[in-house]
Amino acid sequence: MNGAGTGYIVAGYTICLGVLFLYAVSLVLRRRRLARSAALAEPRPPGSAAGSHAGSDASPVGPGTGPVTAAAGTLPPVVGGTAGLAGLGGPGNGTGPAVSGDR
Amino acid sequence: MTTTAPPTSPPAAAGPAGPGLPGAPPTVKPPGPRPIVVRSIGVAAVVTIGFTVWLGLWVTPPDIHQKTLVRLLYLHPPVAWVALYLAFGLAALASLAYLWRRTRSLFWDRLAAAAVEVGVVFNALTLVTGSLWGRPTWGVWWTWTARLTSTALLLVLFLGYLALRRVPADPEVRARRCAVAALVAFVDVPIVHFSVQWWQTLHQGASILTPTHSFKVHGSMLWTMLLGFIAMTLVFVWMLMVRYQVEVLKDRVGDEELEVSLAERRAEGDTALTGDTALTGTAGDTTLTGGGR
Repeated sequence: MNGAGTGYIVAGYTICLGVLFLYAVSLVLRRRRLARSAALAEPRPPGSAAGSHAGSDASPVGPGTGPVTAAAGTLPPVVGGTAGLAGLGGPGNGTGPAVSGDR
Repeated sequence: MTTTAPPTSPPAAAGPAGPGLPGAPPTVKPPGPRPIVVRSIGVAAVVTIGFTVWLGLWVTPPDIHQKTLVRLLYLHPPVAWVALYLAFGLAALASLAYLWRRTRSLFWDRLAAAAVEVGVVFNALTLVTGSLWGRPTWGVWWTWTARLTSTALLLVLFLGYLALRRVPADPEVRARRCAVAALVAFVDVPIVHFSVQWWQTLHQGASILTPTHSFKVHGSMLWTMLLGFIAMTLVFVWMLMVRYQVEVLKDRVGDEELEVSLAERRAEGDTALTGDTALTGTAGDTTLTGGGR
């Protein structure tokens, strides 16, 4: 293949086939990543709440972002954590005012 | 009489990613078409593209007018065919099917989303390959003639469709909005097609789908171009199937993450209530329960 427009032809084939190849690879990678996320996010059977927490890397509620930290804490964290717990048990949204020693 | 317990099968999510990979992260089987079908079409697409490139670059003769630049036309019209007619046409049909009450289903919405994303890639490639052909032929990379401008507008319109899909909304609301947007954007497709007849334009007229149904390309050039059409169609079908699987998995992950989050919050609430009662009963510290307020 010779001629004045060889550079344009090579560029056209390279760009076209290269972009299609890269897009195809990105599709396969996206599918694989989402299939793994779907497997991790599948609901566990009841009674295995701790197990479900193992997949919390795919969950928008990360560990330690809620009042769950209060459950395993010693007394000072429990005071802070109980505020959230009281909020959960009361108004039901877990966002109630803190009931702690600073009041 | 002895009874045997039924075998307990592990949950699908706990299975290994592949045979012989016990440590690999778990995956779920992709939804949609069967893997063998997807793989077969992928292999066929690669083979036909290989043949098209071989014929287009080394076998076919140079054109009497365009010389070797005609080789770019074994890619440019097939890519444009996929973008304009297959991808955006399918997106419009799927959007219509979603908007029609009898056939309303999220399947059509996902199919339209998949077709548009793949179509946008092909539309961009249409503009790039056309520009690479136009520079040595016309002497300019770009000119604002009707065919080029309407094709660029089509790309912008369907990029807007993809942006609209990313706006957070209820799935039904989003599907309805996007279906309307796809139909509005599709109005540009016949404008692109007939632009070379309606207006004086630098772009050449129809070579394959002529009004008199006569081919203007002959011999090995014609067969190579037709093979290019088949190759790009197969590539589109493969990409559409994989992209559809991605769309279904995206929705599934979103739903399941929400359910897991809710379950976690409920479990935290139960644990908290139990611990709260225990603390109140044993320690009697009223400041812990809010009773001191």
